[in-house]
Order: sequence, then structure tokens, then C-alpha cells
Amino acid sequence: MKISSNFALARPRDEVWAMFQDVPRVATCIPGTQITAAHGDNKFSGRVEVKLGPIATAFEGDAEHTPEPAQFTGMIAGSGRDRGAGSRAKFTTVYRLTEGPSGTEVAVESDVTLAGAVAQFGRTGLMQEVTNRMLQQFAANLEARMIAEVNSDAEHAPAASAAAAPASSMNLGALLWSSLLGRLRALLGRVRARAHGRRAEDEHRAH
Amino acid sequence: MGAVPKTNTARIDAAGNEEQSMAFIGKNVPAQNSPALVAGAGLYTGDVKLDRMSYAHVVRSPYAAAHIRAIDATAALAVPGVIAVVTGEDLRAKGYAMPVEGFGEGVRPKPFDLYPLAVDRVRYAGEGVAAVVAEDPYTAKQASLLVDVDYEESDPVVDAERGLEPGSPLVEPSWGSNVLFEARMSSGDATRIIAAAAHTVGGELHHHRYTGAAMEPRAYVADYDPYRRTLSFWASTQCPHPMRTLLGQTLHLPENDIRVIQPNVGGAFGLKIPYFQEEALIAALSLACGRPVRWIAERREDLLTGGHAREGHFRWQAAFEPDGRVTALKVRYVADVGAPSALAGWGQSYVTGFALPTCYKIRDTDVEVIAVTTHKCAWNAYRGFGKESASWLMDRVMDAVARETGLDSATVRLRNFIQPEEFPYPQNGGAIIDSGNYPQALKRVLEMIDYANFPKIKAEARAQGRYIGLGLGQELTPEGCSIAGTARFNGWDGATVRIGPSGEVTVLTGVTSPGTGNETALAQIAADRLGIDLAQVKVIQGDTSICPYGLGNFSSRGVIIGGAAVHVAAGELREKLLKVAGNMLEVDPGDLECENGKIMLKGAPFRYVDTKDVVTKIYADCHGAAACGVEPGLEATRYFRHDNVYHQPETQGRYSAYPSWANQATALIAEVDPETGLIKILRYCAVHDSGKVINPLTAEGNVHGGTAQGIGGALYEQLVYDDYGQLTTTTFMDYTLPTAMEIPHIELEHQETPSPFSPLGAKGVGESGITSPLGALCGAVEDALRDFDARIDRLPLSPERVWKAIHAREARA
Amino acid sequence: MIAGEFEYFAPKTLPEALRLLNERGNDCKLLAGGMTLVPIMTLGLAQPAAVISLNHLPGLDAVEDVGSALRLGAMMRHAAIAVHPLVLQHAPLLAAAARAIGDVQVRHRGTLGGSLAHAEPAADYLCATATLAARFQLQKEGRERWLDATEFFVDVMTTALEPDELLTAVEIPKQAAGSGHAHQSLRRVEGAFPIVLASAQIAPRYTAARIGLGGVGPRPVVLDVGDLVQGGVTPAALEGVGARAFDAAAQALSDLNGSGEYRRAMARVYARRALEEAAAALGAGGSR
Repeated sequence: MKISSNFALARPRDEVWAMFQDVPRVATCIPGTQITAAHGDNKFSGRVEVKLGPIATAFEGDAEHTPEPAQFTGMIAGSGRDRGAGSRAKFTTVYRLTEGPSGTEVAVESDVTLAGAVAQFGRTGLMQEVTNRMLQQFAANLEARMIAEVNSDAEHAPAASAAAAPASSMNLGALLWSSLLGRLRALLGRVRARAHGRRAEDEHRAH
Repeated sequence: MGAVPKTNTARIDAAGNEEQSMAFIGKNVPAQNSPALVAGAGLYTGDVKLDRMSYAHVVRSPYAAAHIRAIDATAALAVPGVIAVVTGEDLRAKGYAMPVEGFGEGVRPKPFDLYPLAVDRVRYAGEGVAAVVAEDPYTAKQASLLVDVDYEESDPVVDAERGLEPGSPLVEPSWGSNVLFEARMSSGDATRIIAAAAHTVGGELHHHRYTGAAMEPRAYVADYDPYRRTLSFWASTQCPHPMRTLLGQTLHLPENDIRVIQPNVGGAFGLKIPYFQEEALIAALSLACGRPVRWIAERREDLLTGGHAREGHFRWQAAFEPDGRVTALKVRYVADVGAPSALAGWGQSYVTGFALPTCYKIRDTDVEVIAVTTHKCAWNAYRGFGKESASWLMDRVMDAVARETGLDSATVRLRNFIQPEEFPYPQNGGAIIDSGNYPQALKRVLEMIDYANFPKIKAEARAQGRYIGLGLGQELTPEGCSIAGTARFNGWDGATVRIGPSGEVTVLTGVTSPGTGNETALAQIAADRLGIDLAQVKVIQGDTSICPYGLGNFSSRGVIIGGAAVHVAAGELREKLLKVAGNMLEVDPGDLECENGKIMLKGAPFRYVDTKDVVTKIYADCHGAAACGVEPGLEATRYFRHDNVYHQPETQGRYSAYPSWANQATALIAEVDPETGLIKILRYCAVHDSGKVINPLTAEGNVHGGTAQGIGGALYEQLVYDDYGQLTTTTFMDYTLPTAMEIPHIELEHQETPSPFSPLGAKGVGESGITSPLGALCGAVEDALRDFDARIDRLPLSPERVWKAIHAREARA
Repeated sequence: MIAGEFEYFAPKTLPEALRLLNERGNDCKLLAGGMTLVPIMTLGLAQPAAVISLNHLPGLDAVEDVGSALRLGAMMRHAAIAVHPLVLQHAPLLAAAARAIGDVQVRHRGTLGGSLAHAEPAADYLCATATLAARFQLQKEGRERWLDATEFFVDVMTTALEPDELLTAVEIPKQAAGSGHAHQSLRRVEGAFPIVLASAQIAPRYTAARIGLGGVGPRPVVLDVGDLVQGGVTPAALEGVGARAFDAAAQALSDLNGSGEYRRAMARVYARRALEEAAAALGAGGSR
């Protein structure tokens, strides 16, 4: 399942481009993600913890960033494997930056595919739900973090960075419902709305 | 009961004597093996304990389609207790290719290579890529997670229709398409008749993917003794001898160095017919390790890789007369048969086409069958073996014609049936349908369910706000599958009958029982043939070292063919006993009969000898006057070949692999909750005809089990793949099986139209009952929801699907 | 078969259990009836380093009358709740929910606390306890707190329980004699997990009425419908309750057994049916 999001940042495209080149910063917007090693040449190792109810598993693997500076697009693709059931996960996110009226328009499209035992556990559609939420939260976190960075300029406002800080492990439900991230939820609604084609230029003004 | 016709009997009965005791045949004899099974005292493959046992776990592909770049077993091998890690490449290097079975002349898959583990690429999620052998099962499973497989994923084919489109990914790239097999079975000119017809009707039907769920998953223990060079193989299987042949071919072992033993089997339903990759694999692992190796599938593994069935899409068109007679039928059937496999499970799609137009006399038919391979678990034989889809389609065709003509469904069926006097009837697919009386069975079941009164009952219910409907299911179940050119699925089998010096009888057969009780039927046949008490007969099955070569259990052949072999072998001993008894009584053996442990003069039962004394004479007095004229010993091994099989089309003008045609007429009343779409079966009536019934008690048990599986398939069970080829129903939480609460009381009667082609007249009961719930439930639901004009063209009838059918009209409006 | 190794603890006292939980926190799992945990571990979807069994703790499997409420120990098995005289007298809805769970084996193994702590949205107890305005006792070393259902159930399979916290008891307010109740569910087959469920509890003379819904969103939904049934369960009241249930089920998720759309429609149907059944039982003396 693919999740798309669009948001605008009041910064020149080059600056936004630079933000996307900090791959660990982008990748850790996936809830429960840690980058464990940077190997240079845009290659990384990392770990994503997934926790929901009794399910607790961690995917370990590698990621690679392929920037296309000329087109202002790039892809971060990672894949991992869990040690509990030998399942596999693949994550790709493609970002595309275009110049807009008040800065840079960011379009992000992400996809997670699961294979093996995790994907074969159909129970009440839980795993579908897990990956959907994971992507939605990635989109929301990414947007929140970037907006926070833009708004806070050189120094990061504590509230903003708290809102944008990904949890150390991905307890999806708790993330979604905790009051700390209530704001993210509001954001999420707008991301969804825009994914459905609606545009509201001033939506992020409040942030 | 009608007399057994003599078409075949005289030839197979050397004594030329059809009269015999019927003390046990046709009687409700409790199954001999059941007490142990019910008490939990069955001995299954999992109960086999051997010294130095080791345990295997299979590393399975998470992907449906992928190239295997490399496999690194270093970390797994470093785990204490791990004995070996074996990959597909290791097995390929040893030449352990698995023989691939076709389904007779002209019914073959395109060629492909198959090994016990995937080589180079995986073809469905769950296919084994490596195996770990360890000192205990826990270590094996845990170490399997450390086998590092480097996959290069590719797009899978998960939909048969899309798999036919140009540019689709291919499951077997060398084929150039995903068509595994296709056939066109035409009779007359259906296209022309339909084009010219005044009245036509057509539609689409989709049968979903589901499977049998045996309580005992697949289980194997292999013990290769490197000093004696013998392989012992315990298996939860239906076919020990074919398994031995296949293992010998795969592992390059002489067959007489292999012993396959079938302990009790906890359910099979066709799905335990060889040849699974794991069967060859576990044996190969024992060879590699020189130790016994045990593997028992987990439930998840069995749902993922233990064989699936059914999934297919029909497009059909029929021409009919205003009186309901169907004059032509055209069918295109695209079956999603999963990955190519060693067993011709995909052959079910062929049988669907072959069985059409089932019980009906439609001269002009045109049936196209396309079996499409996909990146899913392979079809394996599942009870019904494609016949259920054919009968379901015909039920839907008859119901559609009834709707179009305004006639009732029963009338339309009655106007199209093959008539009782027309048997043996040459059906369009090539078969000779042996016997039947479809109108009588349907009329009887209509009486049972009070069909004439149903409109009134329905109207009363409707007045109370309840929606009830009546549906008919007419099933035809060709049995005794006999495929040309294969020693695995053929129309013969063997039995040894042995009378010991104390008069006890041992029957050894090549057919086996998956727990259904056919051993009891075989004992009944032997007891009646020899005129002795059933308690004296012991049946031994499922051991290649002691039983005569036979093909095991499939297609209801246990009694049809295995039973006939017992009848013939016992008949040979009977002849010998009569001869010696004749000498003892100084009468002509032809004037004797045996009954109740005695051999007596017909019409003068006071002139008799105890059968036991005749046995003693043969064993103890072989040089004496009474027995010196016969060969010593009391043991006969005989083989039976079913006659109603046609493998010589050039001279016989037909090809038919099915000799025996059981059938059933079913009527049920179901209630639909219009608010939720939930279905409840209120009454279930059936008249079943499997020819001569040897043991009504166990026969009914078979029909009850088949019915439960049919209802499960129609309403609940479904194997669901996602777009990436991941099976999302790998536990019983997600794969919904009916419980005893969902299965109605089954009002069952037998009608016996004996087959003229078998000495006992039996037609087989192993698959009966599974088919008719499909059509009957669809019909009943549509009937109940007539106010909504709800149409059913897709299974299962989940509450949401029915609810949507109810709301479809308002959605259209 | 659970392949991975784990440490196994079987504490004999609650303080010992809480201490272990405090020490092992995140890398341990609690074993109550095992009806969810064991299958998940078999599938390899959880590999805890330690499992702490609660099956040997004394006192967690009893019902206590605490005046205006019943306090049920978290280790009570469904089968025991279904037939307990105090539960049947004062909170028969909970007994009805217990009776509806799984099959005979599950009802004899599964526990109240285990089911609630896993917070499967369509579990019978979630719907029933939320309807009954239950309170949940959470304990950890040096702290005890009580939460109500809106605080305890956080999201799909997520509760307010912290990793070192244990659900020890559930307190159910006693229902007045002559109340009516009902617990209805839509299931594919007997013993299967519900797709949608509805509980209803009506006070005598319709002075209060609550409907609980399960399987229609991430958490149980409770509707206070006292305003709609003041004049009894009339067709208009049923219509109104159904509409409210339909609105409340807007977040219903889709899965193999039913789409969100279907679940939403079923919320309407089952809310009405539960209300009707509960109304019919009013004044009948509590337990069915």
C-alpha cells in the first residue's frame, strides 16, 4: 500500500534539498527506527522495531539513498529481516521537490511491503493496519519535523522537536493516541485530505 | 436392492458363483479401527520414536517469486545441536529430481524441473529453500532463522486471468506463458445452436480457493540405515506403494530397499496423495545424515504449502427451450492452479471439464479448460477433485434456466436428466456413466423435504418477516480414477487373503484407509465371501513390506477396486474350501454354499462340515484323500481391474478415466437474516446413490464428513492471497472452519443403483456429499432473497457478500 | 512450537510478580491463559526474553463484593465468570460476555485480565466492561492506580498499561435489580472471533441506558442512550439508537471478515438488537 503526502515549506528548494540529504534524520521519522551505522556512499544499516499488542518484532537491514540532484528527487530504499520469524520488510520513499509560490512543495510517496510470517498473519487485518499507520506516521513525522526545523530556524524550539521526535520503538497505538502527539493526528488528517487531492495553501500556517 | 447385473461378475469370479452369504454386507457394522482412534489410542507418524532421532525444519521463502542469489548457512551450522543444513542446490547436485506426473495421454503439464527444495528460484511463498537438521526440533526451528538467504524479489503472478495477459510475469519462464495445460472438450456444435437459439442465458461464476484441513498435518519419519542400505519411511500418506516408487526414483534407491509404512492417518481428503517436496526432502535428509529424521508440519506450514484447491472462474452460456430443456452449453473455465507440482493437482481442472454436463443430457457442449499457473501454493487433490465445480456450475445453470422460464428448479432438472433406462450412458466428455436413477432420487428428496408444501411454508415465514429459501444440489461424483500411462492412479489393485491353520483370516490390501473405516468394509466382503464370522477377519493395510502392491487410497477406490480385489482373492480360497469340503461330504462342490462358519449342501443344510475342519484338512492332511487334489496352503493374492475404463481411444472410440459414478440429490432449506446476511441451514435432506452400500454406517459417516466440508467451502473457508502473493490465512483464526454447531442434522437416505461393472455393485462414497451444498446453498439463498432479486455468482457466501447481494438492487437503482 | 529460548518465572506472590516485572520490564511477557500470547510466540511474532506466569498467584481469581461494585480478579477464567453467582446477580452482562467467548477449552484457559490487556477491539470483554463502566486496577512496584475504560483502552491492541504494570482487578458497578442487559455478536461460526458486537444495559424504568459496541473502531465505543429510551424502547428509539451506533462506527476497520462499511451497518443492526433484547429482559430479575 502506498501512502502519499504533500506539504509546502517556506524555504528555497536548495535548502529543503539539503534537509533530505540527512538520511538518518529522514529515516528516523519512521516510528521505531534507528540508524545503526553509516557506511558512506549513501549506504546505511538500521533497525525498525514494530510493536503492537502482543506482536513485538524488529527488522534489521540496510538502506540506500539515491539522490537525483538534477531533478530534485530522490529515493530512500531499505529492506530488512526479522529474527523472530524470518519475515522480510521493504521500505521505499520517493521525494520530489518543486518550487512553489511560497517556497518549496514537497511530495513524498512511501511504500512498505511485508513478506513471510508477518505478512501471513491476517488476524483482523492487523498487519495491514500496522504498515498503514507506520507510513502515515512517517509522513506526519517528516512533515512535522521539517516544518519545525524551518520554523525554529537555527535553534529548535523544544515543543516542536518533542512533537517531531520519533518514539524509540513503534508502539503504534500509543503513538497515535497519546496527547503528546495529538497535534500529529490533526496533521495526519490534513495529509490524508491532501492526498485525496484537496489543497489548502495556508494549512500549515498555524505551525 | 436390485440384483447385481452380471456384466462383469462372471468373468472375475473364477467359481462362476454369484450366490453368497450377505450376513455382513449392507449391515451397519461399527468401524473396526474406530475405538482406538476415538479413545486417543491411534498411533500416528508423530508417535514413532527411534533411537538417535533427529529433527528437520524447513527454511521457507517469504516471497512468492524470487531468484535465490545465495544461501549462507554458516551461522546456522554454528548453533550447537545442528547436524546439517541442506539446500536445493545440494539436492540438485545429487540428482534428486522429483518425477512429475501427468494426467494421462494429452493431459500433461509443460515440462519443468522440480527438486525437494527450491533451486535458483522460488515459485510460491512458503516454498522450502533449505532444511536444518538438529538434535531437537526447537534447535532446528531456531537455527533455521539463521540461514541467510539472499533473494532477489520479482513481481508475482497472483491472478489467473491477469496471468494470461501479454506481458505478465511468468512462473515458468521457459514456457513463454502461464498456461500449464489447456483442453477443449466439444460435442456437437454448441456455438451454432446458441447463436441460433431463441432463448439463451449465461453468466459468470467464481469458485474461491480453499482446502481440506486434516486434524493431523503432514508428518514423516525417515530412517536410512547406511549399513543395510535400507530406508524406512513412516508417512501420513494415502499411498504407501506409490510413495515407495517415487522415493526410489528420486533418491536412486532400489524399491526393495525401501519400506513405506502408513501408521494411522488423521485425515487426508486427497491432500495426502504423494508427492510433496517435503516427502522427498525428509528421506533425502536421512540419507545425507545417516540418521532418522522426523518432520511434522506446523499448522501454518500446512495451510501455506500443504496443497490448495478450487479457485477458478467460469463464463458460461446456455440455450434452452421454453419447457426448460437445455439444448446447448458453452463453458470457458480458467483455473488458478498455483505453482507446478509433482502431483497433478491441476488435473482437477481437467476433471471439471470432463464431468460436464454431469447428470444431464445435453448433446451439444463446448468446454474450454485453461489451467493457469500462478505464484501460489499448488493445487493438490482435495475431496471433490474438480467434480464439485462441474456439478456446482450445472446447478447454477439449471437454476438460471428455471428463473428465465419461470419453471421451478426441480422441474428443469427433471426435464434434463439422463433417464434411468439410458444407462450405461455415454457422456460428452468420453465417460460411460455406469448407473443411476436421478429422477427417482430427486423426487424422493423432494418428498423428504415436503417440496410441494414449501411455497406455503415460505409464505408463512415471510409473513413473520423471515426469509427462507429452498435450494437443490445435484451432485455427480465420478470415482475410481484410472489414468492411462501411470502406475500411480490406475484402475487396479491387489489383495491377499490368507486363512491361517486356526481358521482366522488375514486380509492384506494395497488400498489404505485415511481413518474412514474402509478396513471394516473389506473385512465384511471377505467374511461374506468365505461365509465366516466378521470377528475372524483382520485387515492389514499400509505397509509396503507386507501388503501386495497397490495404489492406496484416492477417488473412493478403497471399496470399488480394493473391495473387488478382496472379493476375488477370497473367492479363490472359497473355491478351494468348497472343493475340499465337497470331497469330505462326497458331493459336487458346485452344490455347496458357505455360511456361518459352515460349508453346506444347498437346500440340505444339515449336510455340512465346519469351515474350520476344512481348513484343518488342508493344513494337516495335505496328502489325505480330501485335500490331496488341491495345492497346499490357503493364501491367494489377486488383482482386480475395473472394466469401465477406456484407455484405447483408437479402438474404443473414447477415453475415460472414471468407471464409477456416485450421485446424490440434495434439498435444503436455509434462512437468511436480511439485516446481516447470515445464513442458517434449517433442514438438510439428501438421497445418496453409491450403488451397493457395503456398510451404511461408515458410508453415512463419509457423506456427513463430505457435507460438512461442502458447507464449510460454501459458507466459511477461504484461502486469501494478497497482491504480493502472501497467503494471509495461515491460522485457523483466519481460515474459518465450520464447527459442529454450523452443520445441520443431515436427513440421509440411500438409493442403490448398483454398477454393472463391478462385482459388488459399489460405486464409491469417499467424496460424496461435498458437492451439493455449493449449489443447494446458492439456490436457497437466492430463493430466500427473491424479493431483493439477489444473485449469487461467487463463493463463499460470507455474511457481507450476502448482505451486499441484498443491497445490490438498491445500489443499482 | 515455540522455538526460541526464554526465561520462565512462576512467581507465587503478587509482590514477587511486580518485582520481576519491574526488573524485566520491556523484554518480558506476562502469561495468563496464553490464548493470545502462545500462538503469537509460536508464529515467531514475539520472542520475549522472559515469560512471567501469573497462574500461581493467589487471590487473583476471586470475586469480591466491595459494596457498590464487584471486584473481579484479573486471573478469573471465562468459564468461572460465566457461572459465578455474584456476577450473575449484579453484572449478568459480564457473564453473558464470558459465555460468548471462544469454545469450551478457551473459556477454561482464557482469563479476564489477559483478554482485556490484549485489547483486541472485537473482544467480548472490551465491549461489556466499557458498557458496564468498569474500572481497572493497574499495579506496579510501589504504585497502584485505577483507570476507567476510556483511559484504559487506548487503541487497537493497546492499553494504558506500562511495561512494568500489571492489570490485577476489574471493578464492575453493581447493576440494580431488575435491570435489563444483552450481549450480542456477529460471528462467522460458533467460537470464532466476533466481527461486530453490542452490549446493552438498561436500568429499571429506563432511568439509564448504555450501549457498547465492539469491532467498529480501535476501541470499544459506549453510547449513552438514556435520552432516547425515556419513553421505552419504541421504534423511534431503536431508530435513533441505530443511527447513533452507525455514526459511532465511522472508524470501523476492514479485514477478511468484513469491510468497514459492513461493520458500520452491523453496528446499527446489533445496537438495535441488543437494546431490544435488554428491554425485553427488564424486570426479569437480572440473569438470563
